[in-house]
Amino acid sequence: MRAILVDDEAANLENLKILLAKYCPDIKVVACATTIDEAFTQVNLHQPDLLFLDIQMGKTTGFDLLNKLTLKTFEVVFVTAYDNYGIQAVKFAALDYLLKPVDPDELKIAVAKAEIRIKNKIHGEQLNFLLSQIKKSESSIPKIALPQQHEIRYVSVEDIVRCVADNTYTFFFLANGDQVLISKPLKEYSDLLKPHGFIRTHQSHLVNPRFVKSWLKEDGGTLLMDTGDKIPVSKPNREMVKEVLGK
Amino acid sequence: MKKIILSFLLLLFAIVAHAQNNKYLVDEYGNPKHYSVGVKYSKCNIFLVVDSGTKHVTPFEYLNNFPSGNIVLLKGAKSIEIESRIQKDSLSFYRYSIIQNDSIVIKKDAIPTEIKYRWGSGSILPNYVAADLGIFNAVNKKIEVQIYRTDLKTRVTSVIIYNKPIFASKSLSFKLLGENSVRSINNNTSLAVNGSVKGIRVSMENTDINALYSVVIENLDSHSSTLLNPKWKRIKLGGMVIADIGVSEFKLPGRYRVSVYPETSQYASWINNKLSRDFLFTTLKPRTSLFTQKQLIIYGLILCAIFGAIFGAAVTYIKRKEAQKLALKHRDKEMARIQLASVRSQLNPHFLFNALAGIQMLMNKNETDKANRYLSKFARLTRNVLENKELISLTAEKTLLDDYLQMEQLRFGFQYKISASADLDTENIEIPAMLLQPFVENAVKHGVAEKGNAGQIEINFIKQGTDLVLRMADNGSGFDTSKNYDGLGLALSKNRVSLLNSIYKETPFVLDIQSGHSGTTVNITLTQWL
Repeated sequence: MRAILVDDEAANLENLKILLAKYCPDIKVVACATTIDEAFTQVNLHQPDLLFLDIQMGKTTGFDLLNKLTLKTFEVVFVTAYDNYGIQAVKFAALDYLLKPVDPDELKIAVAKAEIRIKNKIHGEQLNFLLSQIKKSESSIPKIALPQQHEIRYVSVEDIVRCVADNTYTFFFLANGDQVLISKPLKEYSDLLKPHGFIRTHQSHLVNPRFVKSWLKEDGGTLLMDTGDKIPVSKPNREMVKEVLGK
Repeated sequence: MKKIILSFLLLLFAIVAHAQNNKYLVDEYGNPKHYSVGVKYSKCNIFLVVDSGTKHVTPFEYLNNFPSGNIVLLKGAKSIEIESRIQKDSLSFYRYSIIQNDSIVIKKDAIPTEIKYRWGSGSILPNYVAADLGIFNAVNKKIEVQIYRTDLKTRVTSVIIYNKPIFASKSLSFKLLGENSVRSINNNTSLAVNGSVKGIRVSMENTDINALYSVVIENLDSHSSTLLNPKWKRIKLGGMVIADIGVSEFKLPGRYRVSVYPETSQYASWINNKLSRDFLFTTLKPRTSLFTQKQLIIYGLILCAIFGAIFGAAVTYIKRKEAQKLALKHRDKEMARIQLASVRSQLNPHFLFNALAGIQMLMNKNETDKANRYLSKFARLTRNVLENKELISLTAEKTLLDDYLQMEQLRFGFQYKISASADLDTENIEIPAMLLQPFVENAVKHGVAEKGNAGQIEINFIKQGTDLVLRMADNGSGFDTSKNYDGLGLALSKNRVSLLNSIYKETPFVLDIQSGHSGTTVNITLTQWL
């Protein structure tokens, strides 16, 4: 696989190059770039399979590069030093990212995943989705990418009724009645969706309050959903759930 | 001779006068007494002359309950003469009828023709004549005279001359009139007068002079009375007549007397009247009829509105109080959260820099692979502290403890084990991050560090019913739990637990430390957490 590394700090580029050579010898780094313009030229020149892209690059972002590149025939692994707004968008698009300092094991996993995506030729779609989400105004309701084995569903956060954990998997129950199984733990989605009003009523349940019909007192606390489903509320969460629903 | 004739005539006149005096009841001048028995404001007048044997004449000016006519009561009269004074040219415009005892029509629409007397042009009634309407035997009779003018046929003037004994009401009975029912009531009854009571019905035996009978209702408590001049109505059964007393006459609570009596004279009284018949009853104090239904509805509505307003105000007040309470509670919790966050972010700087020194050591030994991995662990730990997440999954907590212990292992060669009960869903159960970390740090520093390879730390996440127990055990030399060890991070942990308890009130966190020579065990129990 041919890769291009983009980071505004040359030292980081050098470091990643060494790590890739050491832990992912299958990756051939064809070019490195420290600016968006340079990266734009290099990508058009080399048509790489994989892009390691820093998000925060001085006054610009890695997203600016992606916006310039109309044809996206590569996979992207975002690299960032700290979890911020940019990484949230990446998570919503279900794209891969690495945190600095890069953990060798995590690097290996990210590369392996990218390899699969390259083989399946699912290019561009998620990236375009990511860019469209970033362009949207902050007040608009975001969409989330739910990657399944053969397709990726883009679902408005408003249309998610609830999520149920099944070990490291998460079941999504959508407003249209669909159920989607995603191979990520509920914790990831509860972190993503809590800022959008979702409530973790139970270790295995994440609920969109928009679809809560009423609070039942049975078993110390149960939520009745518009769909008729009953969702347990565990004792530690009871007050929090009441507080949220009380508003 | 002339004198003789004159004196004879005088004598004759005297005889005639005497005879006349004997014949008629006379006035103080010896002239026959003409009783005007007509009706006030009537166009037709009627005069009555009675025989001298008549004991009693009661002419009424008019009777309230007999507005079209008049009644004259006579006692002991044998014969009566009736006349009407009419303008001499108008006689042909008058018609009169005489009916005896309601059944015998003596004259029917007759034109007065017999003239008893003519007034001269200079007299008090010029051009008037006294038309004779007849002389009648009046013994025990009721004689009705009707007269009208042909140009006013509907305005019949009627006079009843009644020369019969008068009795008290017979077969008198009283009934209470309801909305849809009529029930008999006895004398001295107590009545509950509610909205459905319409009145009292008086019934008595029919007489041929019903109009004479009056009804008076007297409130014996307030001594107020109402004289009713009822229009007696005949009913089909039993020859009875009825008259109704409206409920307004006896609505007020109190004792009442209804008297039925014949008005045998003008302004006759029912009191001490031998012919009066009394009926007594009491109107009870109302339970519901203190107000009328309409009033009740209005007052009800007003009361409802008042109560509604009070209720509304109370609800608003309570809601506001509740909101304030909630806001206060919320604020307290928020405070606790902030404090908790500040407590949480305190990772021992001693550890941080020692960990960095450990990585430096690896670099200098050219163990870059190890250095890379330890650096990642260090990054994860510090990132966690900086991100300051409220809750993390048991899996993540396990990873953090693992990262930490591996870094400490770099410095001190001890053994450690982290495990969780198989029935714990470690991926999805969340707990406050790094609860055990200070105790683990303590175990490393003061427990197992000096023991080298023999040192052991065991961390367990245990499910005990609905409780989650986080346990750390070491085989170090222990410490005195009763003493306050500032450096042991104990105070910090206790502070954190109490802050957590102010947020998770229903699921208290219990911290238990057992320390002895063979080691220390720390249990943090999250009650009913699962």
